[in-house]
Amino acid sequence: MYESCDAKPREYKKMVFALAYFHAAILERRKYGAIGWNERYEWMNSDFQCSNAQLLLFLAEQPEVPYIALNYIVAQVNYGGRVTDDRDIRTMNSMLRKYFCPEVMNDNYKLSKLEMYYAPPEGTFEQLNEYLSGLPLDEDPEVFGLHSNANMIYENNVVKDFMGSVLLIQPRLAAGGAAKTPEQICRENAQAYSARVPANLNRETAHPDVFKFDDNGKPLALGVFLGQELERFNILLNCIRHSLV
Amino acid sequence: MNDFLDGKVPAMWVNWAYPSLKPLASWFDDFLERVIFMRAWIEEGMPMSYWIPGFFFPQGFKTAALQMHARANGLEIDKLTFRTNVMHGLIETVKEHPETGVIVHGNFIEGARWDYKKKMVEDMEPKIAISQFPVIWLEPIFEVDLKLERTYECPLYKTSQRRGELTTTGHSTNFIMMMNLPTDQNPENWIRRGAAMLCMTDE
Repeated sequence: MYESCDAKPREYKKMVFALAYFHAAILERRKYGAIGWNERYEWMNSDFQCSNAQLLLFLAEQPEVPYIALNYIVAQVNYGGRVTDDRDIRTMNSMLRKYFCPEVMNDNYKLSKLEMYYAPPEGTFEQLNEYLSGLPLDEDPEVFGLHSNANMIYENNVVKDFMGSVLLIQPRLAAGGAAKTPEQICRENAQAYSARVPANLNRETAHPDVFKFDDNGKPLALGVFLGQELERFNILLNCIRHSLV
Repeated sequence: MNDFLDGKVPAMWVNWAYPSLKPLASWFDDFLERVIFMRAWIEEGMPMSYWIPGFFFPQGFKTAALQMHARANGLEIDKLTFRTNVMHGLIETVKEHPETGVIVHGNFIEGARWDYKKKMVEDMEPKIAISQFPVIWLEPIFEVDLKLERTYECPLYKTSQRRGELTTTGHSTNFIMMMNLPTDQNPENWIRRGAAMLCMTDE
């Protein structure tokens, strides 16, 4: 496959490497949770194969590498077809633009802030494999465009999940003797919270400016907003109060 | 009421509440703070600065604040937008009402940080993934006057979960609005870094 573009072998090798890097990077970003993607998408090898086929076609048919068209068809159409969140589409476009750009033809262009990630100079498939086997196994999130701190976020998420599972399998019954039963603990907790629930919000005691009308006799927009929030708070206050009785 | 034993917010409360990932104890403290803020607004009049994270529906607040400006000045609301002016400190530094628009406070930033000296977004300090964001003056301007060069359009979300979900009230998403933050880098770096503002931490 690596040698399959007769029309522009060098351009193709650069671009197909960039495409593979993009594919790997967007999949790996999922590991970091919401800082990577808002939603978790199931991209597949077929997305890659389809993009690769179009890349070959475009390079064979057109005199120059059509970067804009390729960015659109790969990020928006092929991979983007699975993306539902607006902000994720923006991220997808930015990810690909970093790799599918005229600069990638320059052998010194880096695909991340790290020195060792670049589309290798034109060579054989064996040389490509050699370059790949020299890359570190333990990847910095920078490889995928993220800050190194993303690792910390990932680790926090793992610990949270783990603790959640531990809590789930913990026995509910106390060991007997003088220890409190779960029912007692619950009741005491409920009483403690109950004592702290504040009174409902009240329109009657409002400052005269808050719900006033403007010169055209219309209520102030922020007053209307406040009124709606007030209703929602009172519903929640009532719910909490009743549940603690 | 097993939730109480696990330190989780009871499902019935969650059902009537705003999105929040906090465990029970800090959820309740946060809830009390919200009620205090709302009560102060009702009884003492419009605050100098609005605690955006305290609202059920911050998107509605943004629209209402813009509407106030439009009505007061006889302008069409759909030609207006907010310019994001990041101020020099946290809520303690707010001493007066703004001339136009609203001041908002209480947000956080994840995936980047605010550099007070350079007055722009910068990379996070090592090991600090989320930090407090300064007070913002949302200044109403005509949409055509909004300059987006050298700014990162930074999404503001309610929680670190970021993803939207359909709620019973029909408000469908965790996303509140874009804040335009100054930067001296290619803004796409911040997009790839997943930099976003959040209304609250998970703790």
